[in-house]
Amino acid sequence: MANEADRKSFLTIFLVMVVATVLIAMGVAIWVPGDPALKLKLAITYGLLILIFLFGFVILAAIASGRIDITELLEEETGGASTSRFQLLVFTFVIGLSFVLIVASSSSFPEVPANVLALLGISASTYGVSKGIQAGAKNGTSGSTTTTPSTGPSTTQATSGTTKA
Amino acid sequence: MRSVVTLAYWESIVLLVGFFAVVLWKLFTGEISLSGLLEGDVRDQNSAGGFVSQASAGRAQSLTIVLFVAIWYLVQVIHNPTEFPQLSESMLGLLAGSQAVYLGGKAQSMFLGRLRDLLK
Repeated sequence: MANEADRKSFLTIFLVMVVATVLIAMGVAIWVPGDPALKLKLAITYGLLILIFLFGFVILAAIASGRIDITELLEEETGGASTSRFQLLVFTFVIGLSFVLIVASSSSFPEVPANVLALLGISASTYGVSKGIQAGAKNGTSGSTTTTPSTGPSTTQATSGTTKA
Repeated sequence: MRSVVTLAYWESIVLLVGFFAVVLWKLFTGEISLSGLLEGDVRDQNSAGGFVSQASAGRAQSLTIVLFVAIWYLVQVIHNPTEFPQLSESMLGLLAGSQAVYLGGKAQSMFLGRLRDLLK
């Protein structure tokens, strides 16, 4: 029932966004001076920009309000946070924020040096290899698939095949 | 066309910064949990599941180096926000080595078990 309500709510928001986009595009086409080709180009450009922004904003609002759940962003199946996921998140943030700062400062698209790509490559490879080790250990272990209660930080029983990355 | 560029510029900044802010907020409020970040699984024949969790030095050193490189990089960008700063080869080597140690330790503990048990 909640899913049906969510679906209707998102459909309504989607329709409102599309109508708003079309109205803004029509406004640009009617009131912006210039020849018809330029008007059409501007109307499509503004319309797409606003539609993309509205989509992004709706997703952002859903994440902020908890309708899109990201609470397990760093978690593994056993429940603990994953170091490899965390470092990938940290470097993605650092490069993303750097990109925003550089674009805001220079007002142009910056050249991305090879060592930045190497940094992200190391980070993503670590995550990938970590998942590979995890999968390998899972395949190499046979036994119970239940998890016993934790008895302390250094003696927590982990589930066979559902190990931390 | 200048206004189109300005609009695109502000849109991307609002969405990117907004996304970062939401994730950081959830990290600080604990909605995204960081518990167990420094604990790794170790193969243990005696446990019911085949693995036990214990504090991992490899994870601790990896996290330290990651935070060091990340903070160093952000400081460089803040000092000179006109271009991506150059990362020295030694810095990349440090990071790669740290991650290799972490992954090596993880593979050893998950496939072979504790080092002290192996050396017995």
